[in-house]
Amino acid sequence: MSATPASLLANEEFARKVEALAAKYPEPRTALLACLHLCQDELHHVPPECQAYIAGKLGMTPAHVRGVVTFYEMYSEKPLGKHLLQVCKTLPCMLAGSELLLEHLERKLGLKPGSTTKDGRFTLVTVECLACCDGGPSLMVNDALYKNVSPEKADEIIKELE
Amino acid sequence: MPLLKIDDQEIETKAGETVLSAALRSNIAIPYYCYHPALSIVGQCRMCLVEVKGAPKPLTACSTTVTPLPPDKKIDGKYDMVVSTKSEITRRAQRSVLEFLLLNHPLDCPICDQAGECQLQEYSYTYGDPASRFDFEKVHAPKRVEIGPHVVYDGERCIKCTRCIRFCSEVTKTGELTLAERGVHTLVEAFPGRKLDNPYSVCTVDVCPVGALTSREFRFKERVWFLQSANSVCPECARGCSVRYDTYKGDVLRIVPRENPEVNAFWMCDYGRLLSERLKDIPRRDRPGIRTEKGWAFYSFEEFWPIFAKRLQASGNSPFGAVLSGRMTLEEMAAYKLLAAKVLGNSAGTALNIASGADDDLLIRRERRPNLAGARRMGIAVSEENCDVAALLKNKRRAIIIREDVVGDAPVPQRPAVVKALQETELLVVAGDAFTATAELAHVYIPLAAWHEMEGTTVNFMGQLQKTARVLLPPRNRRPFYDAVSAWLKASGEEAPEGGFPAWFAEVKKAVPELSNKSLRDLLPRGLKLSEVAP
Repeated sequence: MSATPASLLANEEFARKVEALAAKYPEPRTALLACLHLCQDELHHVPPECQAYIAGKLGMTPAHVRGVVTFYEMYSEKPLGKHLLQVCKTLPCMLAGSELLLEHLERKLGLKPGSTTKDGRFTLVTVECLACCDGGPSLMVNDALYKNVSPEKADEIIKELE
Repeated sequence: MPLLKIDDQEIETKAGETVLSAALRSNIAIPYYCYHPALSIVGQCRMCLVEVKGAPKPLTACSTTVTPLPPDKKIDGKYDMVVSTKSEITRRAQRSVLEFLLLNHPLDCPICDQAGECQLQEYSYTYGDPASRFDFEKVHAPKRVEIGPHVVYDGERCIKCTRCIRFCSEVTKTGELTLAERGVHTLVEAFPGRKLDNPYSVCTVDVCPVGALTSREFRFKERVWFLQSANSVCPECARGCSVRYDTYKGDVLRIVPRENPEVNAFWMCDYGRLLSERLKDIPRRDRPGIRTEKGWAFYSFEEFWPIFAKRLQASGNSPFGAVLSGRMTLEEMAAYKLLAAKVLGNSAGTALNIASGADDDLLIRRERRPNLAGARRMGIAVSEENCDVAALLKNKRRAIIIREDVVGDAPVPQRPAVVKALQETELLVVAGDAFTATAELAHVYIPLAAWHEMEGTTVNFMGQLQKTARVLLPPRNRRPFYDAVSAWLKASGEEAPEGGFPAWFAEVKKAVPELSNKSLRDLLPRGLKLSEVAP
């Protein structure tokens, strides 16, 4: 059973973690990005109620926190799938065939970039450079980076996830 | 101190002064959007880019401080910094920034409320390129967003200068607004489910240099170049903010703050501002009237006084109970004192102290009347907060109430007692700009010009004396109280100052010794600080 925003906010462990992060810095708000990561990892998104909660813990306004959440690609206000597939669409990867990879993933998962499968398992997005231009096309699956990803290799990676 | 040269002008700068602030005080034009003297400096809009000699690229004048150079490194042997506002590099920077700012702008000036007072228009005219090179589909953004109860946001007109955001986080410290998203999709937003609803929210509309934030009340009312304006003072609390009334064809369409460091800096509260809306609902009677058993009979100003004098004579000569108001100007208070001395049998009168809420950290005062400090200076008693009016009128057969809605302002439990006290008087004269519930009980009603319909002077709680303006001309039978007193004294066979406001201001000068060598000119535009008086 995965966490919901309500269950996360009721979770004392989460509160302790946020407070521990805030205590690490002379200015509690320095811990904002780390706290948002914590929430993103648990829920696969950072909904407004969690933004307001973190704002309260760090002595910031909710509006300010929302500005940060919406600025960075790595946080999402809408729930992402259990597995996040990020296809690099920068020039070197494109030359190496990331277009084919993307088309393959779109067909296989029945998704357009930026959307999530109905069962909530996969979210497919395109991203700018993954800092891996020597190994294009590159694909990031959750926290793992894969180089030279052909459509066949992508199938294997996804199969292992299942 | 570092010596700055802007174009051909030498400026001796102050410690830590920025190029923009040195330029502004030397009347050198540098365009800017995000800079505001009361807000922090962010260098967000890039409009104030200028060429600085020796710098590799144009610098933002708002965030560049003039720093001293060592004696042997001075430019031309004497300058610490040399700035050009007219060079090709500066011009090109200005043109390019404007091109970026206008890239996705809808160019809907014909239906934009800001048109005529829009810095985008001004700078496009002065610094911009006449033609756009952008012929792609523009990026669209949310429009008509009700970001607060009195403020509407247009994401396409917004240039993301963040003045509104900084106002909310630095001045009101409420922090409702933020920049959300990134790049071309950036928008000013409130947190989901929350609104921009602090007591000063419409100040964000004032600081918005473009048409992105508009006032819900003023939206689509009138093109601003048709407005007629007058500088005056807000009557809604003891702060007395310096304001400008904007009118069109006899209606007050909006009230906006005027810069006055002695009183309100750049701001005013929404309550004071929305007086423009409340004015529409004030019930007026434009002719003086006398109520008999047959009901009200109304007369012209000239017809009225002989009839009134007779009615007054018939009421005997018992002392008047007099309830005055902090909404009277100093001239009206001077007029009352003369009237009391000559006609009303020295009825001293008490100005009601209407209070509600609490003083806040910015402007709003608990004392809800603008000129009670003036009353104290004129030697008129000021009541305790929200006092019992019925007690003031106890055992008085005759009473006069000036500029107050006594029944309407009385706390609810007191109200029946006040009504009873008023009903028991044999002669009740009510003089006011509104035909209120109190006026309904009167035997005689004298209509007065409203605060914005007459000239006068008023003193705020810090002792700042300011002049109010006749923003609109009232109907001819509704006049300032001092004019009514002139007519009243004459009808009673007494001598009276003639000639309206200047004559009565002379009376005020007699009562306030500090003003004796001052003229009206000394009061403009920001007023005059009076010294402390012993309470």
